[in-house]
Amino acid sequence: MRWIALLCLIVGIQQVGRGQNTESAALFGTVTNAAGEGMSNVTVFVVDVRRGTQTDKNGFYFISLKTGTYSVKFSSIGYVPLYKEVELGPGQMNLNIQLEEDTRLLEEVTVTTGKPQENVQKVEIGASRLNIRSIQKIPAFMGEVDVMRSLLLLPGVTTVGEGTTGINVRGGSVDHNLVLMDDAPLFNTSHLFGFFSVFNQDAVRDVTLQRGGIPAEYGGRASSVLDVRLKYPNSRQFTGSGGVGLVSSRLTLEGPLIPGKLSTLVAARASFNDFLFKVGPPSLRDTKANFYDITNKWYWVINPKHELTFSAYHSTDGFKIPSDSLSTVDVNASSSFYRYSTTNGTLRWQYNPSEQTTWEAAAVFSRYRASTSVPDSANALDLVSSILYQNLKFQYTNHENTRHYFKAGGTVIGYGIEPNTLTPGLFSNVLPIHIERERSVEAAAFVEDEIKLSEKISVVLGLRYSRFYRVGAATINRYAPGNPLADDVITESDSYDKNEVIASYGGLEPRVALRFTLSPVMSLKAGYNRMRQYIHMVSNTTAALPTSRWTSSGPYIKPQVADQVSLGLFRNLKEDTYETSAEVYYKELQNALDYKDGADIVLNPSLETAVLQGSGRAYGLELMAKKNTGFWTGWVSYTYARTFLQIDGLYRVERINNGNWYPANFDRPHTFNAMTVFRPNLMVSVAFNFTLSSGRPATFPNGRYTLFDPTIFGANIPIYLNRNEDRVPAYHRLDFSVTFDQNPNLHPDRKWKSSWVFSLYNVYARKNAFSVFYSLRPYAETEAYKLSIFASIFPSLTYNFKF
Amino acid sequence: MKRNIKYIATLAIKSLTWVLVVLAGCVTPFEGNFKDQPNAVVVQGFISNEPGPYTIQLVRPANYSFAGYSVGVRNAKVYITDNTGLREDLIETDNSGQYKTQSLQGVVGREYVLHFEVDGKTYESRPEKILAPLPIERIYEEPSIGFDPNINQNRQVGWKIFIDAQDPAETGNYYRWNALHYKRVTTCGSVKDRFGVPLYRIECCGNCWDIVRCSGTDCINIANDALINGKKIVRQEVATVPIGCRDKYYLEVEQHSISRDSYVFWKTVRQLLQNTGGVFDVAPSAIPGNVTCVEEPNEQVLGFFSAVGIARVAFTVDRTASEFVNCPPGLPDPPGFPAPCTTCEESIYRTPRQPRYWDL
Repeated sequence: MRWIALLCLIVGIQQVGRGQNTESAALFGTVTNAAGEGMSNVTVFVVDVRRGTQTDKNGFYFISLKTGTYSVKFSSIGYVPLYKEVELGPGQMNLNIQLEEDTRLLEEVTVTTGKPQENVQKVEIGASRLNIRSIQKIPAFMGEVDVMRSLLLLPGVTTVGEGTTGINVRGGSVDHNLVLMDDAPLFNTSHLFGFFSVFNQDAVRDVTLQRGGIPAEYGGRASSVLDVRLKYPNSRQFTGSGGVGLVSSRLTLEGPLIPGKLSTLVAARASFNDFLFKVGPPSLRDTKANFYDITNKWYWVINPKHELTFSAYHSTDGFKIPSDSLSTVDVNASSSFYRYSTTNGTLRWQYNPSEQTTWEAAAVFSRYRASTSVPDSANALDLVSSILYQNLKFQYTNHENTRHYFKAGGTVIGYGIEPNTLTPGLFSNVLPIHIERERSVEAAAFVEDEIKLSEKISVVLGLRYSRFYRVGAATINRYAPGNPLADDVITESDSYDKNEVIASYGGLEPRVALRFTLSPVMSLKAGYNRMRQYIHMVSNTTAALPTSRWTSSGPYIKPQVADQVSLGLFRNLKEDTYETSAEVYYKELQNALDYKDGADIVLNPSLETAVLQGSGRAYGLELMAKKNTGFWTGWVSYTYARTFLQIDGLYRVERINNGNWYPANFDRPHTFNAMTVFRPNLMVSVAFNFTLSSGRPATFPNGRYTLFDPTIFGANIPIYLNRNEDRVPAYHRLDFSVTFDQNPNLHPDRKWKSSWVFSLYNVYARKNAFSVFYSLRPYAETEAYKLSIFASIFPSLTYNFKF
Repeated sequence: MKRNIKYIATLAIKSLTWVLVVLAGCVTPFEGNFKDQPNAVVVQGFISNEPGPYTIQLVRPANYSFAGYSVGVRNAKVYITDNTGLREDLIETDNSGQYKTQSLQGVVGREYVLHFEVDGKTYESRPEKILAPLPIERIYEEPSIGFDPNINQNRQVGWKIFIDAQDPAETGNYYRWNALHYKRVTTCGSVKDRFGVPLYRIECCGNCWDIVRCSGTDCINIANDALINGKKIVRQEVATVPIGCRDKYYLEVEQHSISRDSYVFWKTVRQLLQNTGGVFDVAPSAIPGNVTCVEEPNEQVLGFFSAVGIARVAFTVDRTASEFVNCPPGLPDPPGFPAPCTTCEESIYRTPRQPRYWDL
């Protein structure tokens, strides 16, 4: 009941707030681009009083001032900044602005995670926003502009290794990140097992990573929210863009069907890189690795108060491995075929009864499917897993009162997880296996209010309540008490009917953020948030696989709960030319998941016997300095971050490292990143990116002995004592790219604009270690080996065009 | 059966690693700091329902950088007790670290404990029961087809040996299968020239058999009855027979009934042997054992002492009419008469004793 009281309190504050503040004046309006679309995150800055705000996602802004004359600056990256002289009388004044795109981009080219003033002025803490234009400036592997990989340059974001899928944010595992593409969650964010990300650069508008102080509207994952917003289609004219690269080629077309009313965008990308294998060694010539994705967005302005958007996305990856490479591991299959696909769609309706209030409702569908097939008749099999996500949600936003920015909403999610179904081929020796479908429902409601307590202090109070139901039909095992859970102590199985509740969890998730302005260019921020995660990815491999198993919480597997506090100091220097920030965080995780030594996960019908739950904790310091303007722009960041887990079960087999704390797989204490772009003139820009980090934890053998068995010939058994006690060597890499644009003054009227991007990945060809392993051949001189991925310099050339 | 499927699924996933490595990665020697090996005792050996002597091996682990064997533990006092109060001391043999029973005969249903004293400390295993061996009902072979890169198509590469058995009604049965191939040899030595190149063969003075044991990373063949409890174990692969000379290929197949602890031990060992450090490999882990130090229960003791119920059958694959042959030519007989002969030395690779079911 406490939460209801708090809810009343917040709503109460909202109501009281409305009664105040009649004396001062206010300026509000909408900022649009040339196409008439609302522009989000435009900085509105009142120069005279050094105060500012930002437009919301519909382009709306509101700023309260005293009456008087002001010079107001509207600016956004990639657009010509606009200055307006405003004479503000008592009451509210409407000022709508249209910004012109800056085709020359000279002054405003900044590789930045946001707007300069936002660093200091926004209440949110631990948020980084990357505009797609900034991401495009970062030197890319094989020329593929990669949203996920670019995030690795931000403080607090790491990965277990190159070529692996997903990111680790502030000590969270890969599945702790909620990755949304226009509200639809993605369960796999990479193409070709982690080499490239699934987002098409031509369709993405911007990317926001929330890693601390997460707004109450988001939930369901323990660590972070990566919100990828797709571009709105151009509603005034037909345009296109695209590119031809070494790995993939892409084409995007957008334009109005009814000008100003209905417009659409179609972006397609496909890889045609089989020829790369054809020129490779003979054993690789039968390899096939291909992917494609299609993004489609519709935007319908029904009338000035109602609008409808529909976003759809589909991607498919196919990966065929020839027999020769398989014989390395003695699989008697002539080839294996992996295929996985993501399909999602979001239908969103928005109603703006007034400039300051918004009602939104959305229906979201997302489906992920992964399959492995072996075609050989004797072992023919199809292993299929899938996740179905269906979501209905609504949200109400109100900022009528200048001191409040109020949001409330609710959501209902249905999950259907099909863990793994093995279908043998016609003449196959393999037995069929069907693991029961897991059905569950997650419901949540939230309220959030950003309150301006005074000119110096702002606070965001948010509260989310979520509830999770695991429902039938299902068969749930019971285990003999006094034993560790294992498939041989199953005493009986309980059957549950369709929609019967098997287990239920839930609770409050408070979200609080506070900003205290120390001076116009310096502020102190603090945040606290609690997150609950009800579905989990379980994997005992070093890097998550696209075929990794997902499972929902149930009678045995408990939801993961994360609490995080963070504190940050933000300061801008030299008229916002330099932005600096220092953040510290501490996070605790309840019911952190890890796998049991030697457990089977892929085809385990009772997954609870294979996983262990314990505690996790993560803490760190993130320092960042950015230069936003000038010929040289860029940033440097340093992160100190630690992540530890403790699995201390009742029984010896339910403990890891004897119940002591141990570093997680992705615990990399020191990370240093530097990224710089030099743009000496309109035609050329040069970018460098350097990254250096501690090696990830690994388990090395302490010794070995020879197996003594009458039937086995002298195998060497490595002795491993504790998990993750060692580290692979430190990682460092330099990338370089140069972009040649057409001179915009040469043919200013020509519609076709093109550019060439040449990039070098891993410039000094360092063989960075992904892992270290040991030879186990009997009687061989034992040696340690280092496995490197991307162990060479990778040049690439991409041609981009726009019309 | 379950094992078979999991094996294919996990290996299929593992193969990806190799493709990724070949695509863009590389494997280079790593100059790491090898850790000091733990000064632990490694215990290996088993007692069974088959006649002894049973051998227990006690060694100290080798450093990982050091090629060769582990060092045997000498002068330990080793004995085995059972739950009826019987005790037998083991005698240290020539081989360093090996201790043999004298007259002990394992009995089905009894629980055995291994004890030993080293450096003034006492160690003992958890009690291990010899489970009733499950008979092998049927053993049969099938030609196995594989890919031959030389002719770039599929052809017969050998045979697979399968068994059927009836899993008992109760749950919690664990199995391990082994196969030993005995090959009759007539050559027990050779005459070499001064460069060490063999010129002539020397015949055996009497019967002699080579013992061919499993080698590689896929020798540990285990299963449990969780998915098939009470049903028939069908088409359990227990061995593969390669294409070879046109002869009769004799092998003995053992079906072990083992404890759950033993099953987990073997399963972990198998996983470690198959690890190649890849992106999608299961991270290495400690192998759970069943021996503890009485004085210091937290001391790490490696290895496992098990009690197994063994059912053994012999099987012969008739290769005399096989389509494909891979038979290396032997050495010529030495000139002169009478031809010399040499004894067949008993070892773990060779025996003059006729295999139990040879005449069958």
